[in-house]
Amino acid sequence: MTSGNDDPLKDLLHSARQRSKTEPLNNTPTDSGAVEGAVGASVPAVPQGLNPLDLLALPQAQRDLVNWLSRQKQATLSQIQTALNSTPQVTAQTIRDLKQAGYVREALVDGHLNYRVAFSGKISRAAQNLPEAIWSRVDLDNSSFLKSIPLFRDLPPDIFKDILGKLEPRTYRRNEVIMWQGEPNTMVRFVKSGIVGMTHFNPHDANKRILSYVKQGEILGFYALQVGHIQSSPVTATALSEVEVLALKREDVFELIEKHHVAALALNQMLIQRVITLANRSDGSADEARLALVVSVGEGYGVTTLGSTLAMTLAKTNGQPTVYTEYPTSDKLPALFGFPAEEKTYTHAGGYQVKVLENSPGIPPAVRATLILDELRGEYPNMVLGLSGEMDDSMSYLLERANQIVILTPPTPDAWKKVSALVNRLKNNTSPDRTRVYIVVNRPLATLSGEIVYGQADLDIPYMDNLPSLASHRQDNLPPQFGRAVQALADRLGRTSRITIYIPKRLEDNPIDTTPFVEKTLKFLATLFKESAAIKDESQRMTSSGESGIISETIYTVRTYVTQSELDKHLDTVLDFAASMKNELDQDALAIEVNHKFMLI
Amino acid sequence: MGEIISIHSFRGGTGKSNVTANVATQVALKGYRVGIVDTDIMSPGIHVLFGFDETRIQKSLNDYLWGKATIEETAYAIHEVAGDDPERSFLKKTKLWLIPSSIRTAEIARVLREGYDVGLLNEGFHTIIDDLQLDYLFIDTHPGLNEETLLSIAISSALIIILRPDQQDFQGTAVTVDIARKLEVPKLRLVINKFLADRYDEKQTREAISQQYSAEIAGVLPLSMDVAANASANIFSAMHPDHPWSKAIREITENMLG
Repeated sequence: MTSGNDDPLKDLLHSARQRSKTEPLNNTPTDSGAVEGAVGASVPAVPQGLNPLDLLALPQAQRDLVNWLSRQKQATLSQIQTALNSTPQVTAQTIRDLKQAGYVREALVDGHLNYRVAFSGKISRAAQNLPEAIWSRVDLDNSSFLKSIPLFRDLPPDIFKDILGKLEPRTYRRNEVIMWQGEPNTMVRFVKSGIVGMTHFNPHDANKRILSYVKQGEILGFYALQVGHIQSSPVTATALSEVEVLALKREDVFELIEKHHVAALALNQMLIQRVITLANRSDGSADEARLALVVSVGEGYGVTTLGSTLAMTLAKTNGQPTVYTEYPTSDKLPALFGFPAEEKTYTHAGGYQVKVLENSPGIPPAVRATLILDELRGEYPNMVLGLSGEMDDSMSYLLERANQIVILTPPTPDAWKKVSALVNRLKNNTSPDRTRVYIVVNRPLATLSGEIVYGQADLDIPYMDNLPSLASHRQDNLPPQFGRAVQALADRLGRTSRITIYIPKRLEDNPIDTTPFVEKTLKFLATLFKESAAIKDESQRMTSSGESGIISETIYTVRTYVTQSELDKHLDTVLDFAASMKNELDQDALAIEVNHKFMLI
Repeated sequence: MGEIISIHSFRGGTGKSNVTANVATQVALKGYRVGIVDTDIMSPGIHVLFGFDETRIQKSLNDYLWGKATIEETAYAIHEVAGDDPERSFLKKTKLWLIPSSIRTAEIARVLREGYDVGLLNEGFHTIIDDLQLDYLFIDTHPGLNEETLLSIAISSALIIILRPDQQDFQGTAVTVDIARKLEVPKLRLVINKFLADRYDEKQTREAISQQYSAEIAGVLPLSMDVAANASANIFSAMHPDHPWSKAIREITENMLG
């Protein structure tokens, strides 16, 4: 049968190729007449997926497989082999070819490896004739994103433009494998949106452990940057949400950092940060260690009172050996708690121990801090250290390993300035994946009871004139508000990961009552993380809207603190919830924050 | 797993949406769970046959393709919504869902301007089959051939190509049939619409066209003033079950299910 044309598909395919030339950052078909990715053809560096128009030009074996697989949602290798009545070797080879071309992707579904046909291509009937101004807006989007990455931020404009042209975009659906462990990795990918889970996949273990997450603005596959032979990926990267990445060939990155030292330094910083994060997670101590540091911005603001009460509450809550001590000197503790100075360990009736530290003359302060912590760790699962005096470098070891740092401050403007400086300093010594910093306002004097708080505090303790002495304080004789505040800190110790979901309260041009959504989110988080309370808050922010200019937006924040293992286990569920909330609110995007990393769902 | 049936025509004006709505309804009246997706985003229309207008379409396929809704949120249970209308009470007996395209000017303009991702469309088809436990999903495609229509053909287990007895339709249909063969569509059927029954012999025409395309004819729909007078206001085959046009629709239905 003919249609009056020897090859009726020729023109159609030609027009598709012409069209894709006009699309920015798109690299599907070539001019050669062959489809990239077909056996024997050159392979694109970052395949985009199969444009349905190119399906017709696939070699027969590949087309047979795609023809069958595209009528399934997904299928395992054995299912494909059975359907095609083929041999395992031929099926596997065809899958490999298609995968290499980017036309088939792997997805981990309930721990089983499945294959899906990845269709791509924009329906752009009129868009092929779009004016350059419109396309430049699309490019600008990538440009803005790239500017947010330190590696590219300070590049000269012409170099930046050159890099922009070399970036290859790609999107992944949920569960799709972006990068397999063991596969040679020649691309460096920058996560433009979404969240990627890095796991070590083991087919015999459905409970694979998530080693880390890679989020918006971070690098995926930095192993590709090892000079010399191409390094295999040690982990499997899987899309936990819809993920958009921009990929750059390793040679292009090498060229960039060779020519531009500013980029080399920026890359160095990014990689160091990643190594620290991985090291913190891989030592497994994040969930086990219970080190709380209590520090104040001046003398007499209640470090010993709050620290020892926190130790008592932890001992009661966890039923584990708990210690309170102070660093660098704990000499005053015997007098404060009323035990003989020669006793180095005092068991308090509230269920915790107070320890007097050896002064260890002759040992450098930094070394002493490591010895103290190692000794305490061996004996106590829960440790509370009050830091006295000025903060010095010897405390870095403690700060880096703390799960919780409580900053005590009175509600005065001067004190608040010191809090800001301290928080900035702590950023250099702590990782948001491991350490949570809480600001607690304390009012040790009656004159401070009516003072306004000048910044955002996590907890506010009122003035208390009936506080029991340190020797006699117990869980049941604490002033209720103080007891609740300390209990909140105890509950959050070990819960070092913070999840925040942002829900708009009201948009000025579209008033909506979102209170039910806030309640629903609180309930969802409380149900999912049973031992962790979810908290709601409300704040105002200014945002730029393309249509309305600058608008004021009131935001509800619903946040919770969870352990690392809880985060690994339930992040998927939280992302699902956020996606459904976004749809219910009829928003283009919903913001979610995990350990200070924002992502838009 | 439910089957996808695409209804396609190379050119516009063949009555594609009308045939899709009628065949899908007849399949649903047989007790199957049926979905219809209007992928003719540039010129949507099938919603009209089910009594939908702009006020009733809150979320559409466009919202899904732009990430503003899940595909489930864009599916309207026709048996619940349209069933309140006495003229459409037959729909109450069905399990029929419609995923309409937007008929808002700005949203159609946005498709013209920005396009959409066909990969997402594919994912949506599979998701809605799973979520609504559909036996059949009908895709009312855009006329002609482009990425979206090829995708629909590639993922369909059955394809109906509608043509009129017209030389332009004949040539275009040849291209579509050729592509469907290459994509190994398991069931390929032709439907002749607007057939001049008083001027040509139906049996001879069936044989000639079937032979020319090496494809089975699922049915021949006569050119009918009654159908034209219905003006796509309702599902004609359900309203007038004894009409010759309706009988031809049922023949197509039986053929597709057989």
